[in-house]
Amino acid sequence: MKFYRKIITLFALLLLAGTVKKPWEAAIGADLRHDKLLSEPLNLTTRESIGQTSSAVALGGLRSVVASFWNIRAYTSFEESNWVKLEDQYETIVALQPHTAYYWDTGSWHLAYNAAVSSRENENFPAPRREALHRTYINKGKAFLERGVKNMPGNWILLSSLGRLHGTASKYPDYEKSAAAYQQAWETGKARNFEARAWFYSLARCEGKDREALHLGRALFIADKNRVDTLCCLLFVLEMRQKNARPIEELVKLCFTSHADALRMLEVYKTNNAENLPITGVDHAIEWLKSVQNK
Amino acid sequence: MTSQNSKTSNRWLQPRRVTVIAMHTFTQLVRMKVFYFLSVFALIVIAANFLDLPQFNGPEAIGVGELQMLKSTCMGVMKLFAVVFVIAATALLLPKDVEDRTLYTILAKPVPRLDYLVGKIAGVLLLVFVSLLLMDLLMTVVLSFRTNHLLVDQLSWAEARGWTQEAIDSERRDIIAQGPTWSFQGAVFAIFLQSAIIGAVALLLSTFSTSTLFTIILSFLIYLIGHFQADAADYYKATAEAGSNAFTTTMTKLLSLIFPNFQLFNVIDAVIEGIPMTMNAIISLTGLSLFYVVLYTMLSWFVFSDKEF
Repeated sequence: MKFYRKIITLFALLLLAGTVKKPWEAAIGADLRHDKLLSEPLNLTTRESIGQTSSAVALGGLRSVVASFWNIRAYTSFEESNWVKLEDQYETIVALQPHTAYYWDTGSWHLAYNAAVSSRENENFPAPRREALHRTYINKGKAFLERGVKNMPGNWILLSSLGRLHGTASKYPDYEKSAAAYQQAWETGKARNFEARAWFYSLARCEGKDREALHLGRALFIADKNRVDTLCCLLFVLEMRQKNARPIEELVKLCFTSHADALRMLEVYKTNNAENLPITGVDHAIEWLKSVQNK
Repeated sequence: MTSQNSKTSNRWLQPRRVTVIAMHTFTQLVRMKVFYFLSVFALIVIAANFLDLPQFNGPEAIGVGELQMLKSTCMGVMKLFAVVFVIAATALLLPKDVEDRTLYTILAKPVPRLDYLVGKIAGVLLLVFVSLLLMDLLMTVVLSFRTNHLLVDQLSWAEARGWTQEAIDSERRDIIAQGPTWSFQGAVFAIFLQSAIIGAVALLLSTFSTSTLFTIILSFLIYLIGHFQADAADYYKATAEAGSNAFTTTMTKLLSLIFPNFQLFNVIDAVIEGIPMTMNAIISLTGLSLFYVVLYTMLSWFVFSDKEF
């Protein structure tokens, strides 16, 4: 057979085989996507931002490798305080590996904590601009983490980070969102006791959720491992806030192991209250405890 | 009787004959000192083991990330090695046999050309398989070491902070899922399957190509097209609905019929992220790879069957 005729026949055979394999490949692809074993194709913006070489490597099925190296590059941007570049780099990293919680968490931490504080302290900008940048980066960090949670809904680490970010007093807090995130983290069944307590702390700071917070606090207090100083004090405060609150002596007995402990814990609770936890009645309780001690 | 013996010995795909050619190819490639690469790989794995990630959020957020970094670096190197090696080795085989005149000696005997081609590709794939197995072994040892180290560190840390048993168990499960699992072995097998397909493509190209370099370059191009064509098909499907020109759409369709869709083998990214690889996925990918390898080998034979040297 002549060479060219052979090549044409070859292409015809390839096309014929192609019609057989195409639906087969489509079915396998659908199954793999269903099992989350295949990621969505890279979009054009991501390809442009990672450059030709990395794009070729990523196209060659090595997305995780490109993401790892971009993560190292992003660390250099962090050291140089180049926040615009860092933000772009994390956008690329999560586009390459959307199911790695570490990248979502780290990217959000860089934006909401490092970039925000660094911008606020950057004396090259006038004060109002610094404040605006500070707020912008905090909001970017929150939005980034929220996207991470949407991508990986059952991941307690991301939910916990989101709860912390929304619940930090210096980060323009939204305690309802914080409580919801901590609650979801706790309900995954994988989180630490801390997430349950943090849910209580955030709930106690939500407007009009005193009753709900009190019920949660009482439930948590039953377990010995939850009886940390902050939880005992906050539960005491919420009990004190009730309309028909029990006498102070009874509440101290209920929430603390001794009068001395109660006095020490409440004093620390009041002075170290950077997170704006409710302190209704704390002064009164401290005075009462001091008077009892002096007797 | 003699004529019957001769007919039997000329029968296609005699296992013994194919095995002899495959083992000869394997030895031929081993003599090219390809296993030296393993020492480079060992260095990369050991270096990656000492890679630390920036720590900001307590050890519980960092451990899994470190294991993923280790896995992604090593898997990347394994894939790169397998693909480069299978293309270069296959592209070299036929020209080298012609140059050494081994091909004339073999074809002068009653050896069907199909057996020769199957033996050659089987030899290359055997070498890739052995190399991947050795790299996998090394990687598994290092990953086990790192995983155990992390387990001890993080679980004692968690216990010291009074985590609940459920939380400790979940942490243990998360770390173990990033260690040397069966899914991880499945991902290495997927690398082998992908290499087998691209090897068969290189074999087909080398049967009509007159230059080794041309075969290597074209094979790499097909490898990239294989990864790109699924995306391109999706893109042109979307733009076709918006009224793009029919020519590009038809060309993309043709490309997707001719070239294999290598994106299906990108399951290793998901495995690195800790998503378990199902047996169904392994079986499907094995079946598809077998189809491609058989198809390209048969087409190679079609071109090679009456080729004159």
